[in-house]
Amino acid sequence: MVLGLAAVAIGFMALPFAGLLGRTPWGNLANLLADPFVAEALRLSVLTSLAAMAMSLLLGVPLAWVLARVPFPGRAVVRGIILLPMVLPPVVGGAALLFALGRRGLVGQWLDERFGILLPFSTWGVIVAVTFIAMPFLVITVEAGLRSADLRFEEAAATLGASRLTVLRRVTLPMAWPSIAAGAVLSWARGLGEFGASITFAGNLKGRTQTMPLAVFQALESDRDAAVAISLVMVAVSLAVLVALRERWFRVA
Amino acid sequence: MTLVADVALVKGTLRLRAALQVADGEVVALLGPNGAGKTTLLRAVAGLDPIERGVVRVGEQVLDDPAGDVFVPVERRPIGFVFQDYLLFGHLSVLDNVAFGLRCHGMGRKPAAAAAMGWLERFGLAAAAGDHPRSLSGGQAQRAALARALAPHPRVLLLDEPLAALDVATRRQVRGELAAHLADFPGARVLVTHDPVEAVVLADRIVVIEEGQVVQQGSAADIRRHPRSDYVARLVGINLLRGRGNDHHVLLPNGAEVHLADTAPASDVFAVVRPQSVAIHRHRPEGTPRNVWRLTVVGVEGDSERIRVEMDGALSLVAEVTPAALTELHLAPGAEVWASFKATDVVVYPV
Repeated sequence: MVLGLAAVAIGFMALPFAGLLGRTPWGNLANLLADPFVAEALRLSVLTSLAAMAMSLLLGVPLAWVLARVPFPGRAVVRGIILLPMVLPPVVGGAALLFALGRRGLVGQWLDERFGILLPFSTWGVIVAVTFIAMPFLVITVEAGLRSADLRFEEAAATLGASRLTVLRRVTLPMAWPSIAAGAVLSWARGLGEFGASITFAGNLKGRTQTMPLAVFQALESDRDAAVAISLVMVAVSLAVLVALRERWFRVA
Repeated sequence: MTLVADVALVKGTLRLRAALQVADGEVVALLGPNGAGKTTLLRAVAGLDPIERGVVRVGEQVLDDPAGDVFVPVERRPIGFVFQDYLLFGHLSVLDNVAFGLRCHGMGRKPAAAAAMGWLERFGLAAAAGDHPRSLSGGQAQRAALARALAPHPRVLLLDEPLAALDVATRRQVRGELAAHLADFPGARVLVTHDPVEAVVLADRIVVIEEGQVVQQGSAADIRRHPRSDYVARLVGINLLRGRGNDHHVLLPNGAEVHLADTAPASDVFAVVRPQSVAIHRHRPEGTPRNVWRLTVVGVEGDSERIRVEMDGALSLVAEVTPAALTELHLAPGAEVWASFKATDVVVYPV
């Protein structure tokens, strides 16, 4: 019974990819992927997803530490706000970003007047949108990792003469490494597939904001074979990373 | 005194109010039941649990003095701490674990590694230097934790239940090694245990803590001769009765009277009776014993040579009998028996 249901689940999850493979124009694949339009989208996807992962690490790890270790009033509300993008439709997130950071947005207006920075419809805009959507995955994972950590290891480090900063650097973070790695991978994977917030906030401009998911979306309208080819690349890359990391990191976590 | 601690703090349901003084070269064991506050006292000395009142001092240096607004943080105290389950850092090699404290004290990477290697050699762990702490046996992990705590040259060494994480088979051997290594350390040493054997083997002096307070301290022999609480009496396996001295009697709180051969001081006293001195009878004994009680057997335990019979009634008594007597008297929980001891077998001393 259980095995049967599990088999149905596997079939259900695998079927769409079988459909994708069945529709793949194998003979023409090399040509399709050689199109500069694909290469540009791939470049932008790699660039923005990695940049967003870096931003998530830079901001998300300290945030996770604060949420896990520093009790303050309203912590539950703050956590709720941080995790909101995981629940909301990404389009809503993109719209919210536009109202905040758009040319006439709450902060965007000031950024424009003061520094001449315009995030919408720029590559930075994509990175901001992807970070906004993907960082919660890192925060929630790292926070859980820090919460499950045995605080007595930090006490042991202190009795050996470690200052609070040394404890953080040499004990807390290294011991939380599996959850940080897992969080980074999760946020990167989420960022790679980001569509709704990006297209709403940064548009779909070739060579500037058109990442692979957006390229697939556009190609579906004009050139189905190209759409399938790009999709195939995304499936291959994602699957390779997930399988590799599952072995190396998630097991430890 | 190297270590002077006089601490008062409340932690959960525990109200700790205890004083402790340990000289250089001395090993003190904190002995007591679970939850008595032994570990909390150790943590207060280390600065892991700040005290509310009192003082903690090492030599002339005041480490904690709430009234004087002094609190030296954990990392700046000259105190080494060996935790119950050792807490070796899993992400560092054994060598790096031992070098950790030296690095924190500003030593360079290479000299710290060399010094740590020296410690590992002393503790017979040189071959495991590059290993993961997880691959160490219990005894090795304990030595690694000890080496790690000693490497930064603390003046005081604290050990929280240093043998509790080991299985019974290795415990005895590691206990011997630990005694040898502790003997090498010149500073003050305090270890927490709830095992009286451990306390006797490892310590020069035993401090008994119950419910957050020191109830007794002294050498093992002192404590064995003159236990001052039920807990200690049970530990050393003797009957301890508390009452009021009255000429040739001790009056117990429930009104029962214990007859003595000599006069007792007219104050609160302890009366001690060894289990070997307590006889058990099926019928009321005739003749000399004047301390005779009708009691109910509540527990029987022991081996093929000696059996301890616990009885309850007007007072609680433990008797030690032979297996032959056990069968002859049909002693099983629930049995009604007569227990007796001679007035000359009662030792009395003031509370």
